[in-house]
Amino acid sequence: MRISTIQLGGCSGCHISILDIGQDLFKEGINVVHSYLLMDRVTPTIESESDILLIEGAILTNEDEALVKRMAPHTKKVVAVGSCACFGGIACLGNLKTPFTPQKCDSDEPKHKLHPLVCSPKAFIDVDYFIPGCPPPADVIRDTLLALVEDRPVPEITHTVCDECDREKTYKAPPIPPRGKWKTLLDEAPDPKKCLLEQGYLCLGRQTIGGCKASCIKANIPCEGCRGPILLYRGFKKFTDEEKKKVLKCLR
Amino acid sequence: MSKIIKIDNVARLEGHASVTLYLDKNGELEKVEYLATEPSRAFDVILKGKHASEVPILAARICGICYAAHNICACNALEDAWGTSIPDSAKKIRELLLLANTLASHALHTFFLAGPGLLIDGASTIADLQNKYPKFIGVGIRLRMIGQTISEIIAGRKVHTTISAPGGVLGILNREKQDKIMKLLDSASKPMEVMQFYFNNIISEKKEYMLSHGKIETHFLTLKQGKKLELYDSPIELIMKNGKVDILTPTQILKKISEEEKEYSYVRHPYLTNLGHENGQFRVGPLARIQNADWDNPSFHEFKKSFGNFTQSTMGYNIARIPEMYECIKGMRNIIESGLDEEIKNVAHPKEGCGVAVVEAPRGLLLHQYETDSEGIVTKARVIAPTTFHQGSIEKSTFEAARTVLNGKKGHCSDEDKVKIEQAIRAYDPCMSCAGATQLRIIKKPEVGGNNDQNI
Repeated sequence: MRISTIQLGGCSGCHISILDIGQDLFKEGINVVHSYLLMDRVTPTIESESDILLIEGAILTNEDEALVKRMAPHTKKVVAVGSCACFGGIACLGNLKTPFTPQKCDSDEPKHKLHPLVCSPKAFIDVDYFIPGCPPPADVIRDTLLALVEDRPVPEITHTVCDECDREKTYKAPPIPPRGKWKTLLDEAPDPKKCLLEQGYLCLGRQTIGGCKASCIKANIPCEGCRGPILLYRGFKKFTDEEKKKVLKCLR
Repeated sequence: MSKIIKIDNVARLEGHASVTLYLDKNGELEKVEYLATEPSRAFDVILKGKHASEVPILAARICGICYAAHNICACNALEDAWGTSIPDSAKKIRELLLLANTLASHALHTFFLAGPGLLIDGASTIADLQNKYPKFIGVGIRLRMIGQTISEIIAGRKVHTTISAPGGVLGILNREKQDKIMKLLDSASKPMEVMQFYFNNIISEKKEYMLSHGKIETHFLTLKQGKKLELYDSPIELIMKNGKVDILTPTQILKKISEEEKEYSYVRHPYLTNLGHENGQFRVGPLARIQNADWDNPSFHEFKKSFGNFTQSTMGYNIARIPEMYECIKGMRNIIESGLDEEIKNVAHPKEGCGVAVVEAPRGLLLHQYETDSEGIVTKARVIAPTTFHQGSIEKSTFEAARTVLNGKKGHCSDEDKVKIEQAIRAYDPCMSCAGATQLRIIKKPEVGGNNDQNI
């Protein structure tokens, strides 16, 4: 399998997570043909055909847009790695502060110019698989990658972070503190045994896609919801028999 | 006729950067522009208006490689603004995390980014390296794993560790976890020896190249180093070209530097105000740290023997990371042996104020500044990342490197030459994601519409 990776506007964290796969990344059958982080420019890489394209980051410049449009036709499967590539992530926070005017860029002549609206690559190309997370745990990337390489169905995650967390829970709706009264990171360290939400910390584990083994919560950090809301995956499945890809496309 | 040579997307660095070489009609190098093409994600704008409790979490996302430094530096700056003290154990855990992060980051650079270029002449892929030097890659993966796994033990995850919070850290490090870390540290000694062996060979084979390639004269800025690697809590040292040393506080440093915005780059160029842009360039990072250090490990003595006591050699950056990796392992062991207790967090009370903090990120000095109101809402944020400090120096080093490489070639630049020029850039281990963290006032004017020409 030929794999190429590209980075758009992001922090390189997802590439680091890909590297964290370790020895499996250099296994037989996996051939990294294009990656800025991992190899020198060996002619010609950018247009070389690949089977899997891993995309990190959100679209921040017109050049980013041109890059994904150029790479996507040369690949068989596109995988968005990380929350920036799946939903827009941290980079999209900039949209809240800047007025936006949608504007097409001329992909023949890419310029280093900020994109009017920061968005995820799925706005311009078809993305086949999403691996959310900031960054996604290396295990999850490996499972997806190996499934694609070995031509198995990609494992689907339908449980939440809360399902993976082993703290003492009453499973009752916690009393919602009045606005501004949630406990924050400024307060004392939370009790390591009891449910964080029931202690009054804003832990997003109940709504967040699992697969990370609730690692932050185990280290006593309330869940930040970096893997995105589960609703998109689970909620809509109850109401329709359509296949997942179609549902997701409609939701987009 | 004059000529322009472009190196688009310098390979093997974090984020995107390009280089443009301007040649005159005789084929002589005239000017070099180092373009940080990694777009600004404008973290200073994003952080403005957020509650202080969210700041350390968001700040960690500035960089996927030195996340711990950003996370900890943001906490330090907020603590400085509010006068919050932190328990002793919390400080130790933070330091532990910084050391683990530095180890992983240096291993990444040494084995995956810079190392291949030093071992194999010309362009190379992972497959080339895997075939020719399988042991080298194996050691790299092992050492990175040790650093990353220690981060995971402390903070639950390998990347974007957000365990620090204003007032301390959130999780304790119990005996079981400490034992795990110690076990990992013990397993590091063998790979370190192999690494030392490889790099001893590289130094002895390419000594002349290492000493001269891309060499420039600058000042150095670092936290004061002593008997051990100081990353967290130490005064700032400004080492001038002539060896004179000034001790400064974070606030003083902010007063001493100015930042110039370049039309062609998304990143500002900082310099020492009193010396001007040309002479006031300074470098940070491993080379700055090693200058006045007094560490005790074989690799450190080896470095001093080959490069001299005070060195300006740019390629020395690559080698200066190795003694630091030894120090990281030693430092972590010392911290755990000194004992940790369960008191890890004080309650932080927000008040109106302004705070500045510096820590040593793997790539050098990192500075965060925050102003908050009485509720703890951030009213002003400023981040100067190590690679931002390096912009001017990288440009100069590229110029020097390109001049030697292109000398006598009459304006012809082969792929091999490009790889050599890239090596001078790569020595700094530039992390463009960090450097592009702040919003610029001037951005190349978008032709139609556009959103970022106004300062928000």
